[in-house]
Amino acid sequence: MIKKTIYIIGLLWLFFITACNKLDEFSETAPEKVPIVVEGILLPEAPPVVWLSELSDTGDIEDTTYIPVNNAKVTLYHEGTPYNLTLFDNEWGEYSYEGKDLKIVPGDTYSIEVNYSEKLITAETKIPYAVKNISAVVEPSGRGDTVSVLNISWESVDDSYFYLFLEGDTSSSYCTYSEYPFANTSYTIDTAGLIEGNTYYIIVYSLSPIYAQYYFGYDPLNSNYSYDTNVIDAYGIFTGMNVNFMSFEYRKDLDIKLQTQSVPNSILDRLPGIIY
Amino acid sequence: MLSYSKYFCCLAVFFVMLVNKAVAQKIINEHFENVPMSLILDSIGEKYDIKFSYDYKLLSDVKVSGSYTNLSDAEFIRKITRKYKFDVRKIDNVYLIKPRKTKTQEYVISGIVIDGKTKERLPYATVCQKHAQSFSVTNPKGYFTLFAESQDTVALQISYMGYKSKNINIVNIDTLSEIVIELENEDKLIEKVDVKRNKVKSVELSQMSSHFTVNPSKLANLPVLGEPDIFRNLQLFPGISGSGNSSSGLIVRYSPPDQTMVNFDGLTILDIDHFFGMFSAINSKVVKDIQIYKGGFEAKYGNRISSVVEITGKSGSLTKPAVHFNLNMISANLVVELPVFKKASLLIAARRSYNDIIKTPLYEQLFGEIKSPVDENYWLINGTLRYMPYQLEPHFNFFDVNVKLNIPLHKNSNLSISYFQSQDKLNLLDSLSSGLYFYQTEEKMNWGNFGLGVNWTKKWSKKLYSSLLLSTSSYYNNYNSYYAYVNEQASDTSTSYQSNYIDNLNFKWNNSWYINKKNTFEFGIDNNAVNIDYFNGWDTYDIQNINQFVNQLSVYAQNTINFNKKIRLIAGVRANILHPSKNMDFEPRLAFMYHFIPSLTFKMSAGKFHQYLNKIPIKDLAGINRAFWVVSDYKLLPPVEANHLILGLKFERKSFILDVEAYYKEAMNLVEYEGPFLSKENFELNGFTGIYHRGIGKIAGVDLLMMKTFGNYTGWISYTFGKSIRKFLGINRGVAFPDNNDQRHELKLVNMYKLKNWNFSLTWTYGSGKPYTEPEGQYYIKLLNGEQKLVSVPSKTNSSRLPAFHSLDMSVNYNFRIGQGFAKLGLSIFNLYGRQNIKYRFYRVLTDESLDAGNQPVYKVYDIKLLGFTPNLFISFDF
Repeated sequence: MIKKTIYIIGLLWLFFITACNKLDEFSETAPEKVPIVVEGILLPEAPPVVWLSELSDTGDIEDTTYIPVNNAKVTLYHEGTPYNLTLFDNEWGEYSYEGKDLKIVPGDTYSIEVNYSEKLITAETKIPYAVKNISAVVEPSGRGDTVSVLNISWESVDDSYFYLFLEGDTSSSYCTYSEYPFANTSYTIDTAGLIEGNTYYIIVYSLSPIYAQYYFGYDPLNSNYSYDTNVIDAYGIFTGMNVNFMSFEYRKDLDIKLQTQSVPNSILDRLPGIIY
Repeated sequence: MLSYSKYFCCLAVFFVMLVNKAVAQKIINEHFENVPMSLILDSIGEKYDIKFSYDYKLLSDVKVSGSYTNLSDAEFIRKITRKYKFDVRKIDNVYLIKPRKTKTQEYVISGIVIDGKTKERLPYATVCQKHAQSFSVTNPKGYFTLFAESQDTVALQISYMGYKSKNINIVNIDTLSEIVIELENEDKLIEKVDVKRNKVKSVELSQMSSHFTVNPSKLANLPVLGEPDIFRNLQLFPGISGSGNSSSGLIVRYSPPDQTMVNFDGLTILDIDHFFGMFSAINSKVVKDIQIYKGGFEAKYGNRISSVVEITGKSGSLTKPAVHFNLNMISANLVVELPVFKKASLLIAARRSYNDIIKTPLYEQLFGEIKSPVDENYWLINGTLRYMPYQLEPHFNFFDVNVKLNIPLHKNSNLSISYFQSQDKLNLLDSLSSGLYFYQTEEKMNWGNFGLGVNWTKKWSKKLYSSLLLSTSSYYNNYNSYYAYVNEQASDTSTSYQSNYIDNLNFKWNNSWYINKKNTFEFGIDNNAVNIDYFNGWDTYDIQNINQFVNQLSVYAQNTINFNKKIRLIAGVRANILHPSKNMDFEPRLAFMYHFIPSLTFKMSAGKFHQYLNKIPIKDLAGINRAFWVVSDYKLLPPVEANHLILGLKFERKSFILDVEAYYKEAMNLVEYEGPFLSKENFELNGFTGIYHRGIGKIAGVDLLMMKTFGNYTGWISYTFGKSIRKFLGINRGVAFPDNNDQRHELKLVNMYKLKNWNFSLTWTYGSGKPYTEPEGQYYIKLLNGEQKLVSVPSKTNSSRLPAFHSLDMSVNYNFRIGQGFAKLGLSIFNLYGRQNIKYRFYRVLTDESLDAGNQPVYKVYDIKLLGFTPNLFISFDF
């Protein structure tokens, strides 16, 4: 009987060890990511710029200070041709390409390689097309005779997301923008703040979905989920973007379809965000 | 010449052998007239030099007559023993003579076991025939069927936890009809204690693996938060997590609470949660019996992949009224039992919190765990951050009601009608109005269960028993929040709402056929028609709008085979058919038990399980920690599937139990829900539904229970060692991670001591740290609107561990007479040494407004604590 008991205890032990081994086989270790953040935006007609910084610790402000990475080798590729980006003088982790031979072409794919600390980080993006044939018409809102809306619409040739600004000219401080990126090719703005006779500029950005996601939702703190990234083995975003403009003089009977027009630098300078 | 010699030699050898054989074969010629067989064997043995072994006294009573001529010894022995019905075997030249085993006649004994005082039927009582291999267990209505071996007198022993064991002798078994066995309840409060007799058990381990029964009244002396809570007591056993203050949801062998089926008188209760999990919605005073199956359960149970808690409710006294009243620092509980025309019984129980009238320190302390201060004007309400600067009083209450009418229609049939309802309600209001602005935030939550069932049981014959249950049950969970801010220039409003409704119509038909002593065949049907609505919205966005209807039909069959006293096998199969998807799932089940000796048992069970109704935890757009139930209809989700394998060894002797079980579980199609706006796929759809991630989980562990009772002391050590891992393609980069319930070690020491009218208990629980996900780091992304978006980066999922949990809890109560009844006055203290155990870690983004920061957002960490030193007083009366 004692022998049988010993055999059974041995069987239990063997069973448990086998079960634990099955769990160990199930577990793997994910490869470690390099703790740097790549922030690269490619815009047609603008020199490509990539910012590199260290991933900050969470916690007090001293821990979250921006720490640039100034000792990386950054190379941009287009159709197999490498273009080496060089560190800007300010040593703020800003790498750019000053040559005139690199064009950012809508519809083309660009990739980046960052060599840092003997690790290779890569990312790829496709440049969205700018919207075409922006039109604007003032229509009744349906909420009352005196209330009207400005319906802005355009044509798109790819499946970008859009982000819209409506900006007054230098004589006006008016500026409104969409709350979130969206996929529809139209947008409606209340005309309540518009002044008849003033000039306004419509700026429509074409965005990649991976950049658009950052506008959404709550911070993923206290969650297992995080924002998506297209940077392989590191953090941040590498994305293409495009933009188109249209200007108009506001009238209550406005109904125009204009071709692309340029926007004065004075307006561009006031726009927040990427374009300087 | 040579050939002749050879021939002669062979012949000589052959002749010698023949002679030897003739000499060896003793030829017997004897005649006897009424001579005792023992004398015959003695004389034959001496005369013919034959050796015998036999029971002298037995054979002296056997008188032999007859002539036995020209017989060899073997022939003689065979003839004489056959004539007088003995068996003989020759071993080492000795003839072994034994009485012949006659095929005994079997008799079927059936009856019911009841409480001697209240006449209430006792479920799962053990009835066994002493000195034989027969035993039986009463069913939920107290009926039993036993195949007794025929003897002049059949001696039965009947035992039931909390009652004094009884021995009865049945003399004229062939004329016996139904028997009614009355047991005496041992839980007498005020009696002179006889140490030898005081063996009231707290728990009984079944012979089959992972199955045990608890005595609710005995465990009522353990530390309580409010009033006795069975589910809190269950957490003191191995394999059921006890490292936390929550008692409503049982985490059994690392599986989440929704994977445990809780049945109350056949009604399935989905959420047994009062006060955000602080108490269970099961009133312990209406519970007669609890059966816990931690895994590998039989084919008659289904629709859950982890475990089953089968609760049999009291039926009420059939003899005289009884009243129980309990008042503690949270709620009041009243239970009334009434005989109805001496033929039926009615039980009514109602329990309600009274904090809307008086707020006790215990209430404030418990509510403080739900509503924790974070920073000035910020609070965490059940895991959700809320800005509430003006702090108007929250309105919270809960109640539950049980009603049961039990009507014995006939001695062999019974009808019972059960009703159950529970509800929790919380209203939070924060508001301020002045001439310049108006601000208001209001949150309303309510959740609850409802169940109504009619159960008809019929004993068709001594061997066939049926139970038919028709029931309807509902569950609901609503959340509404409204925020408004209005001033002269602008206004801002926001609303958020979630609602989850489940309606279930259930038909259950269970049958037991006691074929013979060795075989008991059970079969049945379980049909559930389930309707689910779930809606989650935020302002004008419909985040989720789910409407489901599924009919799930299950049929099962299982056979219990008692090969002999040592070996039992239960083999069964369950089939589930879903409509409208028309999918079918099969679930084979197997359980095996082998007694080496009566005190040492090896047990094993294995099986396949499916779960169609699942609870999905969610952290949605508004950061609210809410979960919702959906059904697997093969459209939204496939069913969750699991396989179990359990091996165990149990040693039980007198008042000592040592039980060890090792288990391995695998689950497929587990679901985790990712809220909207955080996934690329979701965003590309420009929708806000969120994503259901599907994955697998693996669990392995060992449960150990060592229990000892001596004198008035009962104590046990419970230890669990195990690991639980999950793997989802869309989480943690597809790499396996520790489950939220993964806890490497858990140790519980339980001590209970009874001294005359006093009951003392002391428990200590230790649990190693549970996992959580820390942010690994953060960075900023510049947005087009000028905002610097702070992006947190979670580290590997659940790669960090909270500090270990440990808590020392005690309870003391005093029982005394009051008039015709009894009273009990008690004090419980949780967390005697005030350990600051952490419930979870919460991260929050704050704007650092210092000059250097330039209004940059930063993170801050908060440790949300469990209860500290928490005393509770209660008084109860029984009349």
